[in-house]
Amino acid sequence: MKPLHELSIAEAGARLRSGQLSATALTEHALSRIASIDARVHAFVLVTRERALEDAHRADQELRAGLDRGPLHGIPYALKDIFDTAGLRTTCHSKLRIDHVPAEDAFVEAKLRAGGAVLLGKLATHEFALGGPSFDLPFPPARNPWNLEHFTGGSSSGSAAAVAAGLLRFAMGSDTSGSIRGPACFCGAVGLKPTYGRVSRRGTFPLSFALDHCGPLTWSVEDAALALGVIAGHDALDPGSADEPVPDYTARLKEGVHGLRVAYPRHHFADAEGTSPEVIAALDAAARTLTRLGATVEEVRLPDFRLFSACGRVIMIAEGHAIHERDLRERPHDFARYTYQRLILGATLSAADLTQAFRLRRELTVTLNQGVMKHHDLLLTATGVGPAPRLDEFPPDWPLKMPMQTIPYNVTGNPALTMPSGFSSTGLPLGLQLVGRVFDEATVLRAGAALEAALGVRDRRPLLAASPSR
Amino acid sequence: MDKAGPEAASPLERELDLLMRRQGITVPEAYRAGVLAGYEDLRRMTAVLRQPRPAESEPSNVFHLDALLRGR
Repeated sequence: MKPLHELSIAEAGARLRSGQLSATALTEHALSRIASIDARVHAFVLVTRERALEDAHRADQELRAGLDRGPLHGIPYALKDIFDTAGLRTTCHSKLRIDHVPAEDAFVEAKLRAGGAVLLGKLATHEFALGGPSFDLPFPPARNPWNLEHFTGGSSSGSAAAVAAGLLRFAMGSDTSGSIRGPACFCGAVGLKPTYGRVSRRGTFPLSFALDHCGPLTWSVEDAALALGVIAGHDALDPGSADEPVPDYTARLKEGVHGLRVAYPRHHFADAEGTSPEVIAALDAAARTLTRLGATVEEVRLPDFRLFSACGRVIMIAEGHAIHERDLRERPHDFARYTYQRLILGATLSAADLTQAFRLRRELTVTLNQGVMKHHDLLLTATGVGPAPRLDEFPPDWPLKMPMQTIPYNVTGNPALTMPSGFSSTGLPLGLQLVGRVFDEATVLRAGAALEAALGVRDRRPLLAASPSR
Repeated sequence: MDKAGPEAASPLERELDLLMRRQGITVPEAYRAGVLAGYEDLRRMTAVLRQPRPAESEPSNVFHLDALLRGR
């Protein structure tokens, strides 16, 4: 019999509804695992034990009374500590916000509460979703459950670590240039950056208004589909929010990939500096698997990766600097080293630099969506170009160079899912990325589910997570 | 930032110092090397942005009144 933390959201939900399991028992199990494991992983910056048990008790009462709030009713989750939680400290993992207690929930948190989910706590992040991995912050950085000496990826570091360590099935993250997909990749989890505007950013501390996306990190593709169905939707008070209907993302999840046309820009990662042969081999294997499953996979060429990277990075640094401009000048020493070094660079950008970046953004978005994505249902590419590096490999004067292929899809806004593709020779997870047409998360998830079943990597868990809970 | 003196600073360092001085920013000494390394990277990127394009090529953030005024 599966331990409770290995039940999928759907499996747990079925047992909650049949009375075989209570939300209280599920939550107590999660809290017990957090107590026994998280001292090594540092995924959490705040565990909300009392709130979690209250949420669970309420869920049990409601389900017994026949009130069903949806697929996340009674399911434990946690939030990256940039999502506002009314009455609960929201620090952005920064000294500058260490005492900040918001009065209102973020839009996503309000949806999760309305959906009856059970809040376990707030999760580690890079400072302001940018500065990490850092040891000069109020809380330690999260560690990779597959090898505690290794980086989780960021900035949704705690979210990925918590999922990988089996502390919960679903965590919220945010993604500006890869901050959901990068950590999900390095930690062997599933991470979904939805289409820009699919999930409201309101109440989530911004890094870049033009590039920020909110989305789930989960253990499986089905879990991600269920979570997206709850958090997606129009928010009239988020200027970037899309007024698009929210489909049932699970309706066609098991239909497979037969007949789908998949673009494969192999040059983007195979020609990139530092790409591991293991990553290339795993992606080629995934492409062959998709073909075996009935999809048509075609090599294509995309615009040079450096164009996407330059475009996204300039926008992110300019907007991030504007957001933090006053504190950067008045309180430079209250930032962690990496955060300061990255954000202060916005002061060197000109108005013409930013305008050119936004012009390039339109060009790249149109090129991708009216070119390759017009003739293909999906795009298969790399997430990380190698496994997670060691934490002690990061020098003090490290500019923002992440070994990731994620930023293009922040620039264009297309939905992008990362999922495990295999393991490196050192036992660390490798990931692949599936990119879809705008607002077609359903096809991305469907292909992800098919690949997940075919690749068979979900049964392997970090040894850390196999430790018995007390 | 130019603690080493103008004659010892590289052209890139002098450029960065000028930009920061113009903004009234004093970069803490301990962060200086990292900021310089990041600036070198950023300069490469801003050059990449300058692809040939016609004057009428619009940015992606054109002003949309409907998005601005909804929900109010």
